[in-house]
Parts: sequence; structure tokens; C-alpha cells
Amino acid sequence: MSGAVAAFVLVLCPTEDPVRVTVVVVLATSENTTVDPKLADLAKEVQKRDPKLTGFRLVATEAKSIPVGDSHTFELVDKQELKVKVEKPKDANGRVSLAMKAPGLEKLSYGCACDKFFPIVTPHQTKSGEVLILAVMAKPCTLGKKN
Amino acid sequence: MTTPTPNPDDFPRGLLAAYVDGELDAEARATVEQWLAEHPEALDELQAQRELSPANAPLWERAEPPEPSEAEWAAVRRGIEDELGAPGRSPHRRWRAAAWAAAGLAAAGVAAAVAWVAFGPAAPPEGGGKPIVVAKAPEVAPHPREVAELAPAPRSVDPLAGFAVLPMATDDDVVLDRVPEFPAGWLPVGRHPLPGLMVLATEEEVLLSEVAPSSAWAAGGGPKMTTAPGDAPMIFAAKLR
Repeated sequence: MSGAVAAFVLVLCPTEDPVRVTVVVVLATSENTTVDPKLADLAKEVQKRDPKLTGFRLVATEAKSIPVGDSHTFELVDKQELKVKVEKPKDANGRVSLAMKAPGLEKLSYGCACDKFFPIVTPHQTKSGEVLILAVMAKPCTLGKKN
Repeated sequence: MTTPTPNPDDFPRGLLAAYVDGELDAEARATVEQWLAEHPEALDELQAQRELSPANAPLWERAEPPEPSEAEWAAVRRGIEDELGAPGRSPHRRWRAAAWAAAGLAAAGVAAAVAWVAFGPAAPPEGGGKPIVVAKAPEVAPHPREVAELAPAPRSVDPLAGFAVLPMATDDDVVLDRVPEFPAGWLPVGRHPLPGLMVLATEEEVLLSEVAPSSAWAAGGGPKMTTAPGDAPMIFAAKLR
């Protein structure tokens, strides 16, 4: 009886808040030098690896609250998708563990500090030659907490 | 028809009419004729009786029917009322009158209830007899939420009937899941998922567990996390140009 009550309480009061995962979709090109101001740091870091990518533009930003253990598929461009699974909530080191499947990546697992973006430069290129870049950030869900 | 001999001083006028209409036997007819001979002043009356004879029926039919006087109508009305109020009246008729009266009262009650529901005043506010305070339009446009609180519950079909100003959602009310990139200022409400400069994680803030390239990558190649002292790590899978 007490076990049933405990299970009922666990269902009603989950101990782990969902994690809000934000995915920024960026297209980089060598055809221009226009950089979105929000992407200044990203552009600088990418250019260290490929100096020919000079133009960076934001395509879309999507955020989704995902319970720990669940996953969500983010739509990118050209019918490309990014599947993200929240593997572990924020640990003692302040990292949230994610696993994902992205264009050119069968599986990627990593832990990253909250509120910080981790870039992924994918091998996908659009018809016009733009390179698809993703930046993923996770943080404990703060919806309703005015933050 | 046998008719008594009329008194010359008080000759019955009905006998004279019967004489004119040819309804008397020979003896009575002779009596009348004798009386008329002795009373020539009655010839005028005889002429009047002849004018009223059934032989003149077509003439009477063309005449308008007599209208009852007010007194006659009153007499008829009194007779009907006496009949209805008579103590010996049938119990069945009294029960039927009572049923009609009860049905009339019930119909009036239902009509009054329907009118009260449709057009009656709204439920009184808490406090019973307190007068209803009508909100005055402020000189400065209030916050949309205040307007929503002041607005009465809509009673008509129009869903906007209760709003003087449409209440708009605030940034806290809206959760934006996906935002396509447009020039700044296009988003009317809500917080952009990427509100400011994108801050990249440092090498110390990222712990890579597993990287498995897709089958499209050649063995030994593929993406890997590239780092450099002081630089932000990233997965770089694009082919170099």
C-alpha cells in the first residue's frame, strides 16, 4: 500500500525538472562577409577552422522543454533534422548531458555547462553552397519562474 | 277559431288583426264587421292592420332588422349572469371554469419567468443590496489585464463584446518554441530564444562522451571535436574548402 502511495507521489511530483534545449540554425557562406551580430563569437571560432567561411546568418532558433530521458526532433533546413535526447539532468559539475543525431553524425554524446552553446559544423550544404551549422544549449527548465 | 263577442268599448286589437289576416270564422268575422260599422273611427286602425298583414312580408324583409336598445341588452346580460351564478348550476361547468382559470394563471407565470431570465437584471454582486458601480472610462488607457478584469462577462454571441480593448499577452504569457530569423523588431511579444549574443562553451565546460560519424564518412576520418588553447571547442564535420 505504501509503495503504491509512493509511486503515486512520484508520478505527481517528478523530482527532475525538464531541460530546455535551444537549437540555433545557422548557414555560413563564402559568398559574403555579413555576420549576424549575435553570431560574432561563433563566426570567429569557425573561421579559425575554415577561414573561407565569412558570412554567417541566423535561419531559426527553436527551444523545447524536454523531460530527462525523452527526446525531441528539431527541424533544420532542407528537411534535415536534429534529434536530441536529454540523458542526464544538471550534474554536480553543472553540466547537462545530451545525446543527439545530427546530419553527418550518427551519435554524439556530451555534457555541457548550462546556458552555453556548443557548435556543430555539419557536412550538409544547401544548393547555394551554404554550410549548415548548429549551436545547441541546454539549461534546466525555468518556464514560469520568470527567468 | 271560435272568438268571443267583442265588447264595443274594449274591442281587442288582436281580433282585428286576425280579421285582417283572414283567420276568423264566419261568426267572428260578422261580429267584427258589425263593430266596425258601429265604430267608423276604427277604420284607420283596420287600415294599419292591413299594412302589417303577411301579404306585405316581402316589404318587411327589405326593411332593416330592429336594433335592441341598451335596456334590452342590459336585460339579456343580466339574464346570462343570473344563469351563470345560479346556485343550481352544474358542478361540471364550475370545475371547467376553475380549470380554465388555473391554466391561465400558470401560462402567465411561465411567461413572467421566461421574461425575467431573458431580460432581467444580472446576478447581484456580493454584498447584497450594494449598488452596482459602473466603471468609468479612464483618461489613460489602462493595462490590458485591468481592462479584462473590468469587462463584464459577455452575454451575447460576440466573443469580443466584453472587451473595450483587446487584452494582449505579455512576454511572460508566451513561450516561443521556434522563431525564424527576421529583422529585429518584428516580434511583437515574447522572448526570443536567443535574446542576445551567442555565448560559446569553453573547453573546460564541455565533456565529450561519444562521437559516432555516420556511415557516409570514410574509415578513420569524420568529425571530431577540435580544440585549441583558449578557443571554444566545437564539432567540425564540414569538409575544408
